[in-house]
Amino acid sequence: MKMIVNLLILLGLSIPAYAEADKPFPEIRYISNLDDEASFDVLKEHKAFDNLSKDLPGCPISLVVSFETMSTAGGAAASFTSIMLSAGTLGVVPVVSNNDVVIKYKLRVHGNLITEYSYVNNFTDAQFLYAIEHGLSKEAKVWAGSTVENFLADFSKDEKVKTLLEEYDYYFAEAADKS
Amino acid sequence: MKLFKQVFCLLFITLLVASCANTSRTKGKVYKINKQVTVPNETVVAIYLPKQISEMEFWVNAANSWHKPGSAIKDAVSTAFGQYFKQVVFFDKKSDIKPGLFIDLDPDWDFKSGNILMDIEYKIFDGSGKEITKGKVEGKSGMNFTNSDAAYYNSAYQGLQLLAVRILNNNLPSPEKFPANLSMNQFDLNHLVNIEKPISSGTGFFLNQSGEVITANHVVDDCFIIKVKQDGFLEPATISHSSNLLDIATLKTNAKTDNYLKLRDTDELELGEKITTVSYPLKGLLESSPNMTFGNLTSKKALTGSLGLYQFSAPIQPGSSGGAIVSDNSELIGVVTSTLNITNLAKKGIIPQNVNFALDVKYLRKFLDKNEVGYQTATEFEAGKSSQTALSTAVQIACYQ
Repeated sequence: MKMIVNLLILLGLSIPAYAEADKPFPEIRYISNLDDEASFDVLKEHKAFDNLSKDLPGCPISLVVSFETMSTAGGAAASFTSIMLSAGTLGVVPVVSNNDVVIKYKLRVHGNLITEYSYVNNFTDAQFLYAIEHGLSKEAKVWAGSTVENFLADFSKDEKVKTLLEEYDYYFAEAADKS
Repeated sequence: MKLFKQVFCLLFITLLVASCANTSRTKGKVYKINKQVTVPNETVVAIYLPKQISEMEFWVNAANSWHKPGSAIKDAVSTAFGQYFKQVVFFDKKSDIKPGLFIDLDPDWDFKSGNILMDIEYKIFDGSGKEITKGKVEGKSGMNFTNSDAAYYNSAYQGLQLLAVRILNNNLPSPEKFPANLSMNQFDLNHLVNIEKPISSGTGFFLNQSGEVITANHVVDDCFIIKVKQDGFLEPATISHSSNLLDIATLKTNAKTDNYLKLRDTDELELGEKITTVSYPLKGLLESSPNMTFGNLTSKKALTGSLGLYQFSAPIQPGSSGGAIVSDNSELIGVVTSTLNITNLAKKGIIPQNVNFALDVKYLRKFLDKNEVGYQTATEFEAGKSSQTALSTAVQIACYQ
């Protein structure tokens, strides 16, 4: 009995949260401050986003993917302390920073927000004073790319997205099929 | 050396405290409250915050972050008033809740020397809708551009907390002193907006004898009150149906009219066909007069990725959105929605002229059929009367918040 239960649990865990769509979504304009490798390229690997593009200036539907870094309460203090230490040791001791990285996916139609999702993770980075790089660390970029799966799962079961797609099909499915 | 260490420690602590101060929300001051008034107070308070404020958010490139003054101010309102009043609700024109006090807030802010300077004009009405008092409160907070929430919240909170205390001490509210006579859906909304100055305006046109008006959705979707100007008079209007995807909306008015547009009876558009459009440019409502322009259907397609639009050349300007595109035979063949944003192109030395876009009548027809809105199809052509037809059916739309 125990084996059957464990097997069922394993089966449940192996079912993916997002099931690949049968057909792609309509054209959606992609706007982001993330590197392509961390977001756009990962989205394009999924059939649902075959029509996702950066070059659709007239498209009313847009997906805005952004990252922000927010210092934590303790992280700001620790960061400042490490900056002082690093300066005091002429850059030998690295600067340590601890930040929350927030990735947001916003779906808009004619500028109006339809739905949005946020994913947060905490990162601690150590960089030398003379070689500080701005933007996301490699580890954070990898994590940013991994949020695509969470986004797809949330996106595919969002009622507001379904309503939008139904409306799109009512007006434009015929024209889309012809083209 | 000892002095150096002391100075260093003092500088360290000062900088540490200064860098933390503007990233956390304030808990506010402790004010003295008149002993004659009960706190938390039983009077139900309804607070109106314009939608363009409460939903405001924008991306700041330099800070690589979203600024959300709207949600910060909303939170400040809830917290500032919530500590003094048992029940605080945001104004909802459909709600049947009866407040004892209605408070109209109009926040505005400016950035100066690294600070946010917030000033909030207010009007207070009793439970019967009578104005009791009005005034202004202010707040100020240092701004951390990469973490702006606290600055917007703190600057709003300072003024709002002071306002809440002012109401308690000056008005000594109680359910007996301010009985709740009016529900929010009975309150005269004109009290909450500046009726002399709409926040925006656009154009629309009559679709049928019942006085239903078509306009662009973006002209009306954020409006608290909508008015349609006809024959010099302002008529109240409400949104009956809308599509964000098509950017189209129908408005219900009490106007009855014999001047309305009829849709072309086919989906065919002829490249180059002459068109007329009438619109109301963005001026003071009382001084406005219609603008009539002429042009051609210049392309059956619009920008890459657009949906249901075609391009036309009749000059338009801000305020033209929602206007009708009328053929030479006086048929409705489109609705003005947008114009080409030439800012980025101008930087490259390209300045296109008269590149404007309209929603194809084919999709307008589908929208009207879907929502069972009555319309007529042009069966008899009225050649040479397109100017008169366009002019007689056009209305100005005023949006208030």
